[in-house]
Amino acid sequence: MERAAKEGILLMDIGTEPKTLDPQLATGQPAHRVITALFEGLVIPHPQRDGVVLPGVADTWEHNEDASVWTFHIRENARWSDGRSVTASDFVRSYHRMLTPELGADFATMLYRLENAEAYHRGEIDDFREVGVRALDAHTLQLRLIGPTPYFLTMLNHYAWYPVPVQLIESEGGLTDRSGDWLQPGTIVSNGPFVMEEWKPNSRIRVRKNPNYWDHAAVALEGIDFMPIEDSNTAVRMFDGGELHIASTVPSAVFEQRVAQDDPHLRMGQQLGTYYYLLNVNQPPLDDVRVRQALSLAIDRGVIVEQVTRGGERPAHRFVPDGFRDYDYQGPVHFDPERARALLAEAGYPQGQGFPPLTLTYNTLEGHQRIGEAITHMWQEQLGIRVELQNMEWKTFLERKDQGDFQIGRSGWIADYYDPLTFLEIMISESGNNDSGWENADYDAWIAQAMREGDMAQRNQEMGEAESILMEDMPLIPIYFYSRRWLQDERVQGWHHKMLDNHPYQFVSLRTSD
Amino acid sequence: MGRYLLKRLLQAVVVWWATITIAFVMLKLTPGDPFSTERALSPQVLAQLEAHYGLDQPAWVQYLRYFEGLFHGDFGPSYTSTRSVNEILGQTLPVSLELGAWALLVALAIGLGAGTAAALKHNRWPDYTVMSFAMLGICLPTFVLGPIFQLLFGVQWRLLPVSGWFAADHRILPAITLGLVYGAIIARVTRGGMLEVLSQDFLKTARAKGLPPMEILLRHTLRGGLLPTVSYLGPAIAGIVSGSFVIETIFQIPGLGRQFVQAALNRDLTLVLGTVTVYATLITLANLLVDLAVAWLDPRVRSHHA
Repeated sequence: MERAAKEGILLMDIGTEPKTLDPQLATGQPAHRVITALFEGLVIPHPQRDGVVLPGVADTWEHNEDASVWTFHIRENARWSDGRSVTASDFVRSYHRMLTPELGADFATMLYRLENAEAYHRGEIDDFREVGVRALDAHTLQLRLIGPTPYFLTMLNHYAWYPVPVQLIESEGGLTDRSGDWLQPGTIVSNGPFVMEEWKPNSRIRVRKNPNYWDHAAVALEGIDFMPIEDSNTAVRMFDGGELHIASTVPSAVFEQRVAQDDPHLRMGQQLGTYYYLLNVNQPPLDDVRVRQALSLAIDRGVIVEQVTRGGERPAHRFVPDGFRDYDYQGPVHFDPERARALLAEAGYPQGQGFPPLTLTYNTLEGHQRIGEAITHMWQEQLGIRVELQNMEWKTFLERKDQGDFQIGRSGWIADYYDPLTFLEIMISESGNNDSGWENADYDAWIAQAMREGDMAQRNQEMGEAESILMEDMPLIPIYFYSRRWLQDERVQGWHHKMLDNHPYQFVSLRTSD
Repeated sequence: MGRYLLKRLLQAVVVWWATITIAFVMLKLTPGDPFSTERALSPQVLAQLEAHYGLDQPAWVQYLRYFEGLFHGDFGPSYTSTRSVNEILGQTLPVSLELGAWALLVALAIGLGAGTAAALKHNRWPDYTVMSFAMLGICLPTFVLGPIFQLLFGVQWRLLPVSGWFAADHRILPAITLGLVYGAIIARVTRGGMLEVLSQDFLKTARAKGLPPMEILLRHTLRGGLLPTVSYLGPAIAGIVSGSFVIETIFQIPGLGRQFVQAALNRDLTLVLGTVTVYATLITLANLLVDLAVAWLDPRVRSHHA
């Protein structure tokens, strides 16, 4: 590792092997970590501050009064790794590909902010020129949105908005080809600070500094080795053995031990994610809001984070995790066993008498089991009701949830972008992620309004209104907000805690001892 | 011998077909689909994906199409990777075979040496020592042994890399970890086989004739004494090749075992079938080779098949 540090090669793990590195087909954190090294969007995330962006491919931008039309000026010296200029039409053609239904891109919905994008993606209109993206000239890109979007820049950090080398993709199998032949080392062309040098599946992805990157002089690292390591215990041992500069997750057992040892490499911070139980509101007795409220009120979340998870998590007081600036809706979720018992009695189950058997389903993992055991014990203790625990293999569990074939289901959600909407929008009636069966017209209306609200303060208030309905009706029980724990070698500079875990690598460097 | 081989090959074809069919049916009956994640896909995207991979067709059509591809040597596309199954197998199989070969070498070196030594010093302290260690080796699971080796050799003493599969020194810990368990079993089997031969009359004759002990061991004892060991190599090779998932995960080795388990968890049907086919082939082949070797070593078996 010392040699790697001297050579300026950052060694880090990325969890699992990415299924693809195509920015328009990729999903998940492992792919994200690599894609942000290879590609660059109109803006880049700030290395330290969440929800703040810096100029990327675009050096300046402006928007109209209500922030519904945005114009980006693409820097003259923005280049692809083959030396070609990055132009406005690259973005138009990229978004065209992303929204082509045959491509089957998971994150095409991210682009629904663009006018007519949804209609085009659903096949309701055929003329892409009607979609709100236009190259005014080679270096001027205009994006027309479905409504005022003052927080638009933070959305642009998501790789769904990155440009892809459309010409190359066309020549390597065609625009809607999913085989990703164009991603192979030697073939791939990208526009980020690094270029791909080697991709050994399940072993290593090695990227090297891109000499054609517009800001290449500022890039301190010579390269990065990304290693897919499923077992975080192995990653920790590799870190201890000097084979990684960054071990991106620390298992909670190791975490406690390192806290006790005062390990200077241990880092932690909050994460924009919520651990919660989804309730199927179509299944009695969960169709009674008093029962749902009672279940939530009977959970002592302080005990869960202090004695069960023990990894720096924070008790949830609402669904949207803490950390979004200016979103200050104070969640009502708390521990009140007396009120819980009263509500349950009101619902017709005094001291839990006559309460029908319920099942809490979780995907098989020791951590979920421990939390489930603690919470069902609290329900038994406080409410006198018995809830069975049932574990299930991941994909089976997903299918059951999707089909509404569950009663209480373990869930978690991590932010896609820096805005409370990334949480709140999953509970609207038509969302594919809302498996609870819960539908609320007022909630939908508030969210729709917030999506098109130009005034930020007003918008935060509207989202707060929506969330208060959600917490009142309680189709989900928030339990805790996730934390992030990782190990970082002292030589790594410029790597800061980011709640979204997006680290622009051009600001990272390795200090050598001599 | 020719007829025997032909019979065995026909058996292998039936085994292949049955394995693939059973795996296909089991996967089709398993709930969950390759494209589901915690984030729901829009119905249009899901429909596009299913059409793209032919999953919108009835299961029997998919089954026939799969075999049609197979006859052309095409294992199909992987549903969850941008690489084709052929490509994935081409990259992962050599790695697993190499790991298996090293592990087998370790197993044989340890097993034969220790087993023979124990048999020759029957019921004396070398025998007890070897057999105690062998028992320990059999009982210690690789997921305990692997991390212990990593901590000692990689973290504590920094003599060997903790994990990865890049340079020659990356091979050492995984090969030893995987090889030890089989080495322990081979030691026990070899000891048993040797003890049986050592008690036979022709060896007493040889000793009485005053032949040097080394010559007795090499020319007379080993040939008969190793028969059980060679027979055991079939299951051992099968186990080493197909059971390296744990080792591959602990040591981050880009092999077939890891791919197989990931594929099953991902419901990546074509990739599962591809790996199953490869495993079925390897195991059938290993057993065939072992049977031939036993026949060569043991005239009784040879004449039986002739």
